[in-house]
Amino acid sequence: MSEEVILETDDLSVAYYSQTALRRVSLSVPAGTVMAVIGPSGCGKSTLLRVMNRLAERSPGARITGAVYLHGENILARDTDLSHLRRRVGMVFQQPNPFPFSIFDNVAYGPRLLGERRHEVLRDTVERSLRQANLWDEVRGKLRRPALSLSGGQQQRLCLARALAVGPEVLLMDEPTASLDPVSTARTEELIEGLKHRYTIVLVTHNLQQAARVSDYTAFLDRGTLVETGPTPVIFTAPRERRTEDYLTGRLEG
Amino acid sequence: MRQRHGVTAVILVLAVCGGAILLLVAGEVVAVGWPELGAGFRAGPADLRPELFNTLYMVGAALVLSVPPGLLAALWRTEERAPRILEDVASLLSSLPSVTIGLGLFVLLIATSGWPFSRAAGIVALTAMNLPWMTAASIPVLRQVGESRRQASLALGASVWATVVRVVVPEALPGLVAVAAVGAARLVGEAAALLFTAGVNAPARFSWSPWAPGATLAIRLFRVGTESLHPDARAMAGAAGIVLLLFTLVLLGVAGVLQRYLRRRAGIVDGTEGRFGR
Repeated sequence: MSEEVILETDDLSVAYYSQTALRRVSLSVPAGTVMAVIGPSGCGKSTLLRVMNRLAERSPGARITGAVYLHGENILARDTDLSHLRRRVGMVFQQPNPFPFSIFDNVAYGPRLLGERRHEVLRDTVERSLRQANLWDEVRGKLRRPALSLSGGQQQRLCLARALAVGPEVLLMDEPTASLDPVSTARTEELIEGLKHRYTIVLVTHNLQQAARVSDYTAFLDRGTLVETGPTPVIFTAPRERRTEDYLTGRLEG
Repeated sequence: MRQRHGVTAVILVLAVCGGAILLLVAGEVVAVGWPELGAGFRAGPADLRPELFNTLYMVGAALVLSVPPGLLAALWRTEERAPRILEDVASLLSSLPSVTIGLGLFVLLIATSGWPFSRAAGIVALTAMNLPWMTAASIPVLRQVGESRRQASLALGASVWATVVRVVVPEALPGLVAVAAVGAARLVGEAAALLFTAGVNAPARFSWSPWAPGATLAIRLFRVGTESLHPDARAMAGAAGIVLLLFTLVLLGVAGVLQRYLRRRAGIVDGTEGRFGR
């Protein structure tokens, strides 16, 4: 593990009102890898992801302590430019959430926020992002159609393209295949495989096979605590902690 | 099962009765006012064009003054989590009997500050009526916009303000148009708040002045129908009623067309949205 660490949490705790969601989590994500975050429902997986782009603090009663470093810079600092942070750390949500605009306008949303108005530049960005998300061949020539007319799997890839269009370094994926059928799930996994050389990906998943298939590292969370983390093959074949083993073998309620 | 059919039948009968009463009233107004309708658009004692103009002038001005701040207040509550009290006060004020607003402003503007009974005072009253309505009624419409789209926008680096302008308001626009239209219809039919502020007279000669007397169609209907000694008073009131009815119908009709257009443009066709997140 000599790779450069791009994202790191240090003693990170999150509570919603009096309910603890994360307890003193310290986790390092090496650059250019896929880190799978697994654990039972309600273990704090999504919260961990949402701290990394600071969406967690929108939830009512959220209190966050500790630090999250992106390239060594604490993004929980008061003076962090949230827009800048969120362009560097993109997110794909559990449910596809395209805007009720056209396909083109969905992908161009981020670049336009940055003030890009030139149509040729937007067009190129939209095409490149849609190609990266493996959606281009299905939607070329139909970019003016409403995004909501796409299928669920296509919508999810559109959301991925939308996130890629702003050129992030890190991609947070919150159970991106939870609402997809097996074929769309397989396509999304291939996609993650292809993207990981250019982006660092943190993938929250309920699907253990998925974690085993696509991730380089795995972190196991249980009741807000980071139980164990390490290279995926090690976690899946020779976990050090009893709780990890119980979870992986289905003895812990998932 | 039979019970439920019974309930349905009762509701149906009541609905038909309600509809019939409404139609009867509307029909009565049309029947009474029809002979004088033509006279309403010619110079003379039956002329209702000054009142029609006053209605447009005052309702238009009140909408300009109340819709943007009302919407901003609603956005402040839903997007920036302004204190709940804002919402409570808005709903309280919007359900206040309008006559109390009229009376309060009469004391404040006319009795104390020496304003004349005028369009300006009427505009203040209509604005005071519509501002809380716009705020209170917009809040649930804005809440309907999915949190998931807000988060999608924020996650792409948009500020809260950019998210409001680009995602929240466009998606809520059809509903906001409906809120504004119902608000406008309420103002068009308002009489109680205007009796003490805009007054019961219309200007004798055409004028743009906000200090001109500000009787509206609804006031004319009330005044002519109750106090006038003119032999055709009933018909004159009826004519004002017809114009008022048509005015409201056109207003709501235009709002409906606009709503459908906006929904179609946004790609939200009824039923399609259910596909979302399936």
